[in-house]
Amino acid sequence: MRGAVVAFTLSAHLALSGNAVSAQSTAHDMTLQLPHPLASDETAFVIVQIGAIGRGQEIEVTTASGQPLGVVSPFGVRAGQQAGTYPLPVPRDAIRNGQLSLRLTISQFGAPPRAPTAEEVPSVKLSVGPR
Amino acid sequence: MRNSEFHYTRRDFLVTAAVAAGAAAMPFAPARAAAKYTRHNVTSAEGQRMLASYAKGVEAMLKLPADHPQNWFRNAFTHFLDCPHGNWWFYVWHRGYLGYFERTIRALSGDADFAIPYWDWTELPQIPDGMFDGVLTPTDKAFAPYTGNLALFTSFIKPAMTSYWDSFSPAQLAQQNLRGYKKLEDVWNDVTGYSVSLKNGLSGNEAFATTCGSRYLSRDNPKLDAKTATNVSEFVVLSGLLPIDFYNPSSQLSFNSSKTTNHNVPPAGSSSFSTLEGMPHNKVHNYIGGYGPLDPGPYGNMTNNLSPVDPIFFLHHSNMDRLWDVWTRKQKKRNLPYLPVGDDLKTYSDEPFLFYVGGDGKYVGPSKAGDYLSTDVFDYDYTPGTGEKIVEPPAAAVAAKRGLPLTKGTLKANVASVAVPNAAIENHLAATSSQPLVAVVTIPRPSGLSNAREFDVLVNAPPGVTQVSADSPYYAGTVAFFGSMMPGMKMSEDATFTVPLRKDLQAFTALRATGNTTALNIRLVPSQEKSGPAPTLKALSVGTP
Repeated sequence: MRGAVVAFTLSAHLALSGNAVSAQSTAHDMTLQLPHPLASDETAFVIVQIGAIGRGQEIEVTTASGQPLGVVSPFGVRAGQQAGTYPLPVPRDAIRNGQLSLRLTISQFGAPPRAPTAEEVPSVKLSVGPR
Repeated sequence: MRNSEFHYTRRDFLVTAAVAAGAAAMPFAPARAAAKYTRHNVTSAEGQRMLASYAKGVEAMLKLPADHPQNWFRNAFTHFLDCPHGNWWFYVWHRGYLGYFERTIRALSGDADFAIPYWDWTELPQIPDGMFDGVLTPTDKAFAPYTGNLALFTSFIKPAMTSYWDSFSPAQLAQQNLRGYKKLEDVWNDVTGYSVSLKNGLSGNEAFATTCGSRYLSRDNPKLDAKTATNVSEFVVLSGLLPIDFYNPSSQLSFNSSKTTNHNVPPAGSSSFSTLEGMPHNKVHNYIGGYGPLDPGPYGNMTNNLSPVDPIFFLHHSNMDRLWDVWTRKQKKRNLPYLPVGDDLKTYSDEPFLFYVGGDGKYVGPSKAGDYLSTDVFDYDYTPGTGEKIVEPPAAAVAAKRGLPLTKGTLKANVASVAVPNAAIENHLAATSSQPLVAVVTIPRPSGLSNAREFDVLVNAPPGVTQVSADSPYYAGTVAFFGSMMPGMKMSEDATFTVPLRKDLQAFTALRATGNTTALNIRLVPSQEKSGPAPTLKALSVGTP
């Protein structure tokens, strides 16, 4: 009982302190734990917070194996403003043992995508959405 | 497409009564007559017929002088000056904008039955072929006299915009000030991409687009790319329709984006986008305008607030409005609120919209968000498209009970007290429950000098209990901070944890002796004895997430 709860709270920490998450993701990859196992009618969401990024820049979110989850493409955000927080639904088959391995990249002009900085993506969370 | 069930569900939207009564939902409103106008899928025969009328209307708007409120570019500036994005007025403002525009096309095209067709990008992940014909693409030669270059555009429209600006009422000027525009030159800097601080123009920030660069996608290259197709996939769209709250602070639980004080300013900190606005809406805009392929700009019209210069804008937003209608009908089918609840409904409904232009070419004048909550105001409905299946849920989902909203506890002497309805506890204890009760606990991040990193959550423990084992009847769980505190790293001061409440807590066993509610008194103690003091409880709530 207690072991299971501790495992949950560690994942809760990962989910709720995004600064720590992004700081550890310089290799683009991170693994997040669901707060609880998905019920049959629940959907998981990756919640991606985007900082002030350049116009035209986008954050691509895939699983570590390359399955696309979505692209965050800010619209209507004035230059220099925080781009906002975006929930991306996660297909059930992308989750293994309650965990989701993610890869985030940011597009840049005239160069291949790179890992976003902590300022560009301050936090990433894994949450359970409505049923 | 006008089947009786479809119209039964869309016409029971008694807005005035709902606002007056402060009601959240009126699920048993009577059936009413079919809508006068129907917005069709653009791929259908009716949709194609509508495109012909649409082209006539656009052509007429292009020919109107710049000082006419229905001039094509003036119409786009209504969006530029007033559109909300990333907040909860996104859907309702665009409903008003499209509704009046539809009346304009109806009047100028001569087609009294015109209704804006919708582009269901999930079904058709490419620009509909007809949208490359004539004036339905902003790259057409008919646009060149105005958008051939920035100087042409400026000489054509800026004098008229200056006169328009000078005619603004104090209320309109106040809204522009909130938006950051204190004078027309501020507006124009965003049109040209001029940065006052850099004293230079940034091509990527330029809202104006030349005729030839006004749309990235072309007849030879009409498809959304794989990434954009992911954002418009059925899975994403259905997920975006799942929320049961019109607004919820948690973005994945909210049908709408951030709740803000007015529609012209973003929220403090960071906007929280709903799935549908943040993913398909944004990405379709930006990809059509060339985000990626045209980096670092200049981009096409669809990437910015002058996006209504591209006629595809209205088909795109017709689909977004259709999805709001789908969500509304889903909510009604499940007897769930489909508008803001409580005091929020009045706040939301009273937001002034001051810049619309009517189908008669006159300014609408002050109106309010509450005027556009229903499709009834413009008397239209939609033929079914992607997402429709969610309106008719599986039987099991209909029977599912709504959980308990998070209830904030009262803090006293570092103990949080929450009265939880016994019905919610019974639901929690049921063997088949998929909605566990949780405690959402906020505590300060430990200082670097404290050794305490783990704290046990105790429920209704006697005052003398400061340590528990895992099998204690008071022990709900442990919250733990991970790793070192990294004082040199910027981190939030507080942390919030969600702790499911064990079914075998002693607090739940006396359920029937406590009336309609059970009082839960919750506190935290260090897991390891003498590792440090108990953390100061900042907040605690109980509910089903």
